[in-house]
Amino acid sequence: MAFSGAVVLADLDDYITPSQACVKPVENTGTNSANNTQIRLDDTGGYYEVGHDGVEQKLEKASITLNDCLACSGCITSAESVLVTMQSQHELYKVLEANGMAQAENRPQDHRTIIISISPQSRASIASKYHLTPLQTHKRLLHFFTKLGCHHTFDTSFSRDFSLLESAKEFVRRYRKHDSQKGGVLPMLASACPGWICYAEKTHDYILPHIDSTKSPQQVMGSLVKDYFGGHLGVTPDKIYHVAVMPCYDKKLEASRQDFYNDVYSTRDVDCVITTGEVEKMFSEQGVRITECPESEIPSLFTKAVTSPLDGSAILTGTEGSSSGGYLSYIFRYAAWELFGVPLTLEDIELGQNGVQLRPGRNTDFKEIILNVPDRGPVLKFAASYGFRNIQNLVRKYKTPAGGRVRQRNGGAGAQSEYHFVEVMACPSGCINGGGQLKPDDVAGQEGGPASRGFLAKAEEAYRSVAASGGVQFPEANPAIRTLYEEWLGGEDTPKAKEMLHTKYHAVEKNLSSGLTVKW
Amino acid sequence: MATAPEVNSFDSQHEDVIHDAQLDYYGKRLATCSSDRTIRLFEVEGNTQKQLAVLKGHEGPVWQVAWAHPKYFNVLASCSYDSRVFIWRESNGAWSRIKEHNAHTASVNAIAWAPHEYGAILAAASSDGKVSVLSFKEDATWDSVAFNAHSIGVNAISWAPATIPGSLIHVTGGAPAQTLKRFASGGCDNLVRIWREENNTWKEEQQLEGHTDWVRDVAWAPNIGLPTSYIASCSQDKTVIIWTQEATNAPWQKKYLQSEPFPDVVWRVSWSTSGNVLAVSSGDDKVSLWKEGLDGEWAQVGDLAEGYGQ
Repeated sequence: MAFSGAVVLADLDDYITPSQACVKPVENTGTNSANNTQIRLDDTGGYYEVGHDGVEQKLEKASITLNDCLACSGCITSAESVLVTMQSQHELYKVLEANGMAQAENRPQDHRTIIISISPQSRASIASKYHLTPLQTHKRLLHFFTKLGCHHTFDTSFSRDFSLLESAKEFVRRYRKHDSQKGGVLPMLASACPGWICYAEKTHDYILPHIDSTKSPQQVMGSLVKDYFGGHLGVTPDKIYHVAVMPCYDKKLEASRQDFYNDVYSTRDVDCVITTGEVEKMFSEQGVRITECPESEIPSLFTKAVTSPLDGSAILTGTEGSSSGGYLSYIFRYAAWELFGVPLTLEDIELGQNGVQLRPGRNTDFKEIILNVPDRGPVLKFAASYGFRNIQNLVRKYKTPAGGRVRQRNGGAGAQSEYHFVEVMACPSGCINGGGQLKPDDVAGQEGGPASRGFLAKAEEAYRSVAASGGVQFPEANPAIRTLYEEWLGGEDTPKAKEMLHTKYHAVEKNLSSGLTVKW
Repeated sequence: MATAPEVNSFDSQHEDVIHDAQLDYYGKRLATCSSDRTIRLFEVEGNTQKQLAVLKGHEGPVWQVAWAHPKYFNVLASCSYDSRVFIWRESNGAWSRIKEHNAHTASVNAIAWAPHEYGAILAAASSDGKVSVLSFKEDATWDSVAFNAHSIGVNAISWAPATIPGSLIHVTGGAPAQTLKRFASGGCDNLVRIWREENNTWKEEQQLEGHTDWVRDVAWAPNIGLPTSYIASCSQDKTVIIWTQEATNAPWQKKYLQSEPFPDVVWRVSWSTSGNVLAVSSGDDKVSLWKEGLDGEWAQVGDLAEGYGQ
């Protein structure tokens, strides 16, 4: 394995292994320990503290919930061993069963509408492992979930269009403000990766103002499903059970964030996230082989699909750019047009022409893309930074030392070398290589092993084949998105749009008493 | 055959990986630096050692330490991932930072003091692609010059010795030749570049191409006055190349240390003080010693047995 020359991070594994440094801080309520108390166990296994005077007090079991894992600064993506039990396909089975019972016992009020949102990376992973096209995979997944009892299946590529549009607009807004010296924090950093967000909140709180406030496609779909679609169906958000199929375990953490919890109805925007690997397990648990599964027709709702000009059937369309969402590519082109009037095609970005300069970095997970405008030189400097070694190098450039004095970098010429936008993803090679993606059969069962290059390349190709076969549909050209802006959000930049499509970040207070916390 | 060297090992009390350990000019003091962001100093005598100080201040792993020439009295330089170079000095038993060098925006990977004849000059190599040269001037201020050396990062620096090549053999006729400050740098663009100072700026004199992966270390051999200059460079591509220059301004010839690549990445190369023997340390946990034969081929003359070279 080639090591980066710059840094080796101890205790931070890009893949998922349980970290030794997990500490759950247990609150000490301050009862005086001068009295020697004894601990007694009863036959049910409950612990009782017996005081001097014989008074027994039941002790609460120390437990770790999902939210504690966000708060503990011992580990981040290594929290999966806990997550697996809290959010998994078994939860989905339970809800399906509960639905079945509610139906049988004629209790329609307890019936929940089950909605599945599939991410394109998960789809591509399944497609590449089983030698299917993403279109076939999507149709089979549709059939499978409908047969299980789910009511609707959507595609998060659709909600991603919202994320892309909002991110691009946010960027242009910040750039204009920055130019006129009235604020506008640059560089703007992508917000779609929860692994990155968790890490930033826990160890680099100075970088939080830089992160884009746009929600990730998963959460936009959550808002869309619970708010708009729920209203459309005439059910309240708590009567909808929203499951998302995602390429990694960090999305489970993201779904359980307090910001995405609806207090009014006591329900989360995304109730359960299952990984691609868990979907594969579902297939085998249900005794269905993906390769032999029948297919259903793609619905028109909330799926990025168009009618094929060849035979009139629905085919999937793709998004430009990387397999991690294409933020870099889309925002670059959007900004080039909006700010400088330079129209760029996808080919310009691929090949580095028409003023676009591509610069590879120290490793394959870091690259820069620069826009040169005649007479003005380089005006846009974007970068893609995947994997924590590159994120460390990037984030430390913007660190203010503890004394509060902003260190002058590069002798004041810092503005020139700074990036305007960085697509930051925690997993090396991006989402297609997420921790929950499928692995080739010979390493199946090995949790957290890195997928081989060839396998990864195939999955990446499967992802891009959607754009290749169905074409790329730009977010602004998606008619459904425009309709939704009007009908659901009441226009662009409305308060409702801000509430539904944007979020906030919170620095996690460090638990200084623990000596095992991440040091730097 | 040579007897096995006597080895005395001790626990440095560092809490994390140790990246460098350097003995001072007299071999009395040892400075070690680690990923735990500290530098520890020990007084070493025979089989015993005593910890003198723990130097804190870096905010990231400390990659290298370098002792200055004793004529400057206990001066130590250190470089770190936090992109800073610190110069420390001892006065009355207490160590303090006399200079903080902030010219870089990314990890500083290597530092090297120039030959003492040139004064107190320190070169630093960084992942931001720049090399900076810090000089202590006569009026007790520091001067610094930085320039782009290798595009994606510079990994190593080595100064040319102050002795003029050939001075042992040729008659110079009294007047000393002008001091020609030169150093070699190895970087992530697979090249070794040689820089020389001209009118207070540094110009690239030569570019040595030969490696197919990142150059991890360069070492310019000390010279007792013989005409040939040697530079050893080792790389991620598992080879070590010896570059020789027959006389000043002649082209550099390339010679692989051995025809087969090493079993693993070669990390450091270091010449003995008389410039004859090259020590090579590679990723397979071995340190080997090499000498040039009369036929110009390099042969391994020994190694530090496994366990010592870790």
